[in-house]
Amino acid sequence: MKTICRIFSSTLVLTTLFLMAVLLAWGAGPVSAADPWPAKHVELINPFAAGAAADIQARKLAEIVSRDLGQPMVVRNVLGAGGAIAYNEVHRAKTDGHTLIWYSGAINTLAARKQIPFDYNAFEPIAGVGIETVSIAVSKNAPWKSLKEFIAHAKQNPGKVTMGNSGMGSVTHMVPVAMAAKAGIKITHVPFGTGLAMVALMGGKIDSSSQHPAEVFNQVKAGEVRILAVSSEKRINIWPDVPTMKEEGVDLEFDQWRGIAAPKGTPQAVVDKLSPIIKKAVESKEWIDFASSLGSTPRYLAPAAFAKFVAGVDKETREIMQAAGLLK
Amino acid sequence: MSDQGILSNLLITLQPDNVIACFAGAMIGTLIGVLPGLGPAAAMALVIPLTLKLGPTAGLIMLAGIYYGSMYGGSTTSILVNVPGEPASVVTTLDGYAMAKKGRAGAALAISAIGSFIAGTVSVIALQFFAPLLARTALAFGPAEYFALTVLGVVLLSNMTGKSRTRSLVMMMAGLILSTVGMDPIGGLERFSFGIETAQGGISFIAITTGLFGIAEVFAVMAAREKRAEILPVKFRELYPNRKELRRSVAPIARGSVLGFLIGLLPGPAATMASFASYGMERSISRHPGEFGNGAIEGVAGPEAANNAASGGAMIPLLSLGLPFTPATAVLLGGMLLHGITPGPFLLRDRPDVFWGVIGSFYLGNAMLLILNLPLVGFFAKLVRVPSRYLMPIILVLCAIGTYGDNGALFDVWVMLGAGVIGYVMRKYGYQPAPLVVGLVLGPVMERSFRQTLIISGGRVESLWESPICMAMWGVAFLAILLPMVIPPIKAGMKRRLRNRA
Repeated sequence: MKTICRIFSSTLVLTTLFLMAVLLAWGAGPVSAADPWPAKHVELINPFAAGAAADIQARKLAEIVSRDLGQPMVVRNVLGAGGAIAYNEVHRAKTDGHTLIWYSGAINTLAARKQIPFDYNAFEPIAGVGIETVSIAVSKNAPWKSLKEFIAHAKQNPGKVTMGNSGMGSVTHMVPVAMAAKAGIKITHVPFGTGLAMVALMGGKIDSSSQHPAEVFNQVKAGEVRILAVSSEKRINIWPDVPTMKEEGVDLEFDQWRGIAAPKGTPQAVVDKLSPIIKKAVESKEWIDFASSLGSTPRYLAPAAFAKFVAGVDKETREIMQAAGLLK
Repeated sequence: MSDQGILSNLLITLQPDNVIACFAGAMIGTLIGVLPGLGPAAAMALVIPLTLKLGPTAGLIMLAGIYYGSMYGGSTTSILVNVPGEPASVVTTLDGYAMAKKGRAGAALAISAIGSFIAGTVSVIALQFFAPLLARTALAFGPAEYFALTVLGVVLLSNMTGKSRTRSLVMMMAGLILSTVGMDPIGGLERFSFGIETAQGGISFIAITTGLFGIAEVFAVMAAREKRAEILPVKFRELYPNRKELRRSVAPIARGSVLGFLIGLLPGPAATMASFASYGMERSISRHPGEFGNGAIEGVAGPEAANNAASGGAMIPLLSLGLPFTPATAVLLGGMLLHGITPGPFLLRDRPDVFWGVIGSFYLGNAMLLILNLPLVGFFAKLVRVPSRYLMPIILVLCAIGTYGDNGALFDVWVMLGAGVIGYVMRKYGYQPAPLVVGLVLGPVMERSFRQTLIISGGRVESLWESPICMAMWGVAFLAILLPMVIPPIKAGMKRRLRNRA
């Protein structure tokens, strides 16, 4: 005890600690709210890591949108807890339209798993930007030439076939879970980080993996892996030869979706001004070319249609999770 | 491709705008490295919009410049003020700062710049000639191999500082435990976050290291009532390493380059692991291990070479497979995709200008950084002589800004402050913070790979050691535990027998 007293006896140490505490507590002061939107730069909070496909799409879109916005749209990565931290931050943010979220299916899965204490109703949808399909990949040496063969093999060996995904509760996890349920098979899901399942797949540590096209198209082009099927309604541009799950006899259609939203209570004027700007950006040739090159399908949705769409996906997500016992 | 083609493509780097981009990137990188907190990944993400205007080759050269520039800058504050500017430079504080206290700051800075240059260049040469071959080897590592590797790391590095094995182990375990805070990487459950939102994402590595080293140092200087020993003005000749120091650095730099490059091929926090591994290796094979921690130049030369070589090694999976293994290379990949370039086996065929431009920029950038850094040594070495009453408040502010800036969360600043207090108490009781940092780095990889291995094998424990690579690593780990226990009694026994015979 004596030593501890001596350690802290220095008044300098104590004073500094105290001063730092005071300064920190005082820290976040109010910022004056301005009238015409956007009065300053608009922050797009991105729950995904810098460099990921979702991140570079956000950056590209922000760049195009900034040209018409009058103020720059700045992407800021807020990482951690599968996106929960980013959603919490935007949920709490001031509703002046200067803080937006790079919105995606994470809102559905996070809410369903009660990792955030709110759901899509806490956000004001501004515009749907597009969808990104989920692809099922196997190594070039794998014996299965089609999803049908893969499923037949999994049926004979229940629980033996492993499939990597980018994380528990992610859309790349939801698709294989739903696929297994619809096809009546049992597979072992192995969570990796975004893009890391590919390393294990190419190294032969897992049998198959589930990911968005942007995380795998390099390796497909190089002939390292083959794609058995994609989960979208139609085949995608970059892989015209890859069938959809429906074509392969699995009645499933489930994609990652992306868009932009603001916290609930944001003035309608902001939505009315921003949504057409995003529409113009999403329908520009520059965006269509860029998004398609990453295997993403551009599709603008107006606020009302977007809200309805997100609600629909939310219901579907909960059903899939319920069936798989992942719901809390 | 013919040699002439390679050469002309390498020369692309020497076009004026590319040289300027390389210089700007290296400068920004060095600054980012010097400042605690902000890391290369975040800085590169910030610069991406700017690089879009520069065009693919110049833009990527600039991003690459930031990437390796930060590795150069990271050691500066480690050596001068005991605040690691980058996680990969944590280990440099051990001997670098001790050297600075002895008035050899200039030598330490110069050796780390020279070591970085040699290692950087060696790794680019290896990258240029063996990339496809090595990329295949990296794929042999799956979850089971990573788990074995982290176990080996814990065993070999548990006595890294050579003070007390028990205390080191306690610190290492504390680091492993701290790394479990936040969302569980496999099941997605929240652990030990106590309802604190930021803690859901885990305890910030930057906050902990900045606190344990930087803030604790500030407290220690404040609490030391007596004036710090006056540091004598250094003569120009003494600014740079003397012949003995140079001779002692040659082998560690060579070993660090090879070790760092190989570790750089693996996913995870490669540069940080490489620097720790190099330090552990240098200490264990050194003929005078007692000097480590008290200013052994090998403890600066090896790790600084290793972390630069690792950042070169990490480019291999990116360029030849299109797989980013580290956050910083992920941003580089993002930058390439934004420019419409697809890294991977076809990069060399489709865009040789970009491929060789980036490789060339590595050569140029390393040389540039050496030229940039060596004259700065004199300037930085003088910084040590700034009176503490000015220097320490600046450090305090920089630490707070860096920690806040990393994630924009005030909670991290609190963690940093708490870690500072704990770090200060730890020092007083003779606990080293470095093993805790090792635990914090290895923890997430260890847990994730352990659970992935068991999920893949359906719960068969044997799967943890079945592959030959795993077996080798487990073997080394067991030997490392057993030998120190077995050898002393055998040695004693032999001595006794010899004495009896005599």
